Amino acid sequence: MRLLFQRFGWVPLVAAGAILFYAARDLPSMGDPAAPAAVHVSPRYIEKAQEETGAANMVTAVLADYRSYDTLGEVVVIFTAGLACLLVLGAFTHTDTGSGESDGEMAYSFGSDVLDATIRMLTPFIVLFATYVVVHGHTSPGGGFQGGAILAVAVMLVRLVRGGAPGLKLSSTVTLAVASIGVFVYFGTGLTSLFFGRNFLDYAALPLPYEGGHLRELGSLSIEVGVFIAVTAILVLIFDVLTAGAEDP
Amino acid sequence: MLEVSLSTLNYWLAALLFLIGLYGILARAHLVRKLIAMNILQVAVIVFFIIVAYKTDATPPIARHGDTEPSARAYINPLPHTLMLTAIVVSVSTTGVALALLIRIHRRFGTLDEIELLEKLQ
Repeated sequence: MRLLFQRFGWVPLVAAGAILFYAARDLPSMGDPAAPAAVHVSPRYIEKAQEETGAANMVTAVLADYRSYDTLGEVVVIFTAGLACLLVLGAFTHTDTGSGESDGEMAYSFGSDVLDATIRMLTPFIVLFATYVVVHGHTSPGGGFQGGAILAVAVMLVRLVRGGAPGLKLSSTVTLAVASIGVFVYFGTGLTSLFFGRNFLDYAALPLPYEGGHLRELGSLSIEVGVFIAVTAILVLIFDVLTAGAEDP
Repeated sequence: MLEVSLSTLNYWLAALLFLIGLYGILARAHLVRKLIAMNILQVAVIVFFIIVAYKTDATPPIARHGDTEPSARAYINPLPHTLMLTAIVVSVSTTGVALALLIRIHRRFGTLDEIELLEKLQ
């Protein structure tokens, strides 16, 4: 049976390829401004985003304002993924894991003096850049997801070089709690507007002394910060959980 | 005819990337390789959406300074970009959970090869 599949495994592949290549010929030509994807809701986003949401970056406007409900689901997805990693690797059960796996400490590091000096110089700039990417997400490329990934990379680099050095260890409980705070910031923004009599995540209801686009910009900045916290914490959590039981190579 | 095929070439390249990923998932026996193939497949989908978002002679969807009334013609479609931001997050999440499962399997069976795993399961 297995041999059969190995010998004829290319048949479904060729069939799928033929369908894909044939169908691609009927797609609208690339760069066509009148293509179906570019005519329905997209012009509205482009023309009104800055006026309505105060964000020059239309991707952020769609992500954090027009479709913030979707993004809420997205943050919950990544939160659930972190939780799943923790549960699958048995971080809460101390029964079947080997020695030294449950204390959250990496057993190895790539440390050397050069790497150590480099990482000391680089880390502040990476952190600064992550903050910039989040705060300027409305006027330039960036946002909570991107900034969170960059900050998580800073933490991971330090972990890789310096291993489980003192002061850098965060137990999975702590990172999970921080991630929960991020998700809570997101939910809290939505619930605040609900409390002040508008729809869930309708930033126009936030009790701040601003109006129109500026108010909505602050609302979406608030949820971006929530996303930032949650993504950073979850990526660090996943990294910690995956490397917890690693042996010295 | 030539013009059509040039425009279609981008879609074909995305489809080719998709097929490489699909082949890896179907034919490779090692589970880590399957996971890498799955990531290639996801990248193919992302590339496809980015191609769809493109408009000729348009700039990235960030309003230029002072452009108070942006026209839909001057900026590329922001919606696929937003959706693909979401897809990247899903990709990271699935990869993380898959790696956790692989570590779990390796701890239990000591191998990640599909054939050896099937033998040990019987």
